[in-house]
Amino acid sequence: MPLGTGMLAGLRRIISIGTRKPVTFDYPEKPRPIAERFRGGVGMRRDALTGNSACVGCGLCETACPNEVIRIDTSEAADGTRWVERYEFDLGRCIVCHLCIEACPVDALQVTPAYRLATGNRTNLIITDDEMMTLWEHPEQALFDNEVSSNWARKSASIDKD
Amino acid sequence: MRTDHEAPEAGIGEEQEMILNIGPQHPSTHGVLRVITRVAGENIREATCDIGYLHRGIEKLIENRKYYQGMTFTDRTDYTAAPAGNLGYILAVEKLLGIEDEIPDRTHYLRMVVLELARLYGHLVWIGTHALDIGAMSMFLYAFREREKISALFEEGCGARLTTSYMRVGGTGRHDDPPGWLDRILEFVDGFRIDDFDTLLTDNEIFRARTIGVGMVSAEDAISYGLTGACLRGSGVAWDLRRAQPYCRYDEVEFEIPVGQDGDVYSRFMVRLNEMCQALGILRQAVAKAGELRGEPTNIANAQVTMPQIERVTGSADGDQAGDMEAMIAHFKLVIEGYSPPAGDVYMATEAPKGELGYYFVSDGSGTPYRCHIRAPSFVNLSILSQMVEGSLLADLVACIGSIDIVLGEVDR
Repeated sequence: MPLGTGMLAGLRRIISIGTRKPVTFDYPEKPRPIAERFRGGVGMRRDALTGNSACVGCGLCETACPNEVIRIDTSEAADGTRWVERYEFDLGRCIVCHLCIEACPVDALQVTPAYRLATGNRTNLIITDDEMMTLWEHPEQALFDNEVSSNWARKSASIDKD
Repeated sequence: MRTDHEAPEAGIGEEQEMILNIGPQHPSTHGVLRVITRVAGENIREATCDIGYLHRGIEKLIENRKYYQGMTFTDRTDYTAAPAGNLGYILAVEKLLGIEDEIPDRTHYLRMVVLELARLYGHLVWIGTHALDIGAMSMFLYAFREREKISALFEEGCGARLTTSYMRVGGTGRHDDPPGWLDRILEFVDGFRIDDFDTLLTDNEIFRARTIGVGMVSAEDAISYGLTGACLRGSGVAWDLRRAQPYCRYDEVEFEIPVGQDGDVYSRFMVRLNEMCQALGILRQAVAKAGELRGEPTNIANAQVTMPQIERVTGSADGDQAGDMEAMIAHFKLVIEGYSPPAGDVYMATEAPKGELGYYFVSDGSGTPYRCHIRAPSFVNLSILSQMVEGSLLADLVACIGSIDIVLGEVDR
């Protein structure tokens, strides 16, 4: 085979690849579709009757989590029922394996497709059940209204104008 | 060897040697590998690998977790092909529990589908970065174009693009295959442009000049160093655990074991390229088999291992039917205690994209492993680098590292 034949064949191939349809998305201007099963941030179901979180404070998610992300403090109410005093979820430690969701016996923890969980302040990453209910109700919104996401929005807006 | 930065004194007419650190922050070391080289001009006299920059103590982390929790860490060993790590771990735990014969066929084929996708996934990273190191820039773009499609398939089927955590002990957990997923895999397999890689590299004169005759490993050396995977097959030894010790119904699909002849970088390249073709063939067969078995259960019925259906625990959504107390108790026991395999030890080896990935467990009968050891193929394969590059040029070191196909998450664990 004469010298350069292989490289010429490669060059021809590169030109032919150039004529194919692009495979990329214009992210973040145009969000890409998210699969139904995508494991995003962990959401909390709001109980339809009480309007509070559906968590019963059994602590199974705390036990199932491999990274000690979840912390639950419970107390006993006057009628002897268990009451969730505090439900903390550390997004900074979470590896989104969703073992907690599999462990939840009352289906309170929910899979959400939320992935806009960035923040400029590390302490914001420890969220409570209120924010987890927001995640479950509005997974498409950015969880934190902060510098990172607002800069991003400004930048996207300026690109749109152009 | 010397690791200080003093230049040795050189007399008149002698070549001056110097110590050159390659990495840990060097793009062609595929992560945080540091190679301490003693060079004379461009000739490598000696090369020593310094590893451990990515050590996270995954074995120890697994030892301190329950068996079902440890699976999440295996995503992060070989993160270029996470399902392969999942499968090695899960098969070892299943063998330890003695339930490996109860696994349904459909689960085996679904696992095979995900595993062969992972093999392509891993090899695409390898071909992109290996060619990029040698100077073929566009290859990286084309490899990651195909890889993106597999990412999307993983996202759809497993729930995550990189850290899949797909398998569970005793089956696939709550996830089987979503509707239409297997068809989309077939679509991907049919549209996979392996000829792009073949045309651009196999006959490319520059690529051939950089790889043929470089980094020679004889078959004897490969065996005595314990090399596995494409590094061993590139030297002419037809050893593939999928054929030698079949698991996951690999004895029921047809595939060939590509073998190289010369044991150089080019042979290992050809072996991996052919492996990608074989993976496409296995995918076709496995998808067909998994499609035939649709509707069958994916989890074993063993209540000691498999979580009860969540509807049985919570009751029906409209509240008409209360939860089943038996199921609730089983659920709580499984989450809090996990499962306790009998005391003993087990070693399970699987053919991961990088080579023989083995998980060794020692159980003392409790819910956490007493000892977990990961036989990481990248770690063992890396051991031959010093011998491979001794006496060669500095530029060949980059080609050799690429052809061993290491991933530092697995080397350091």
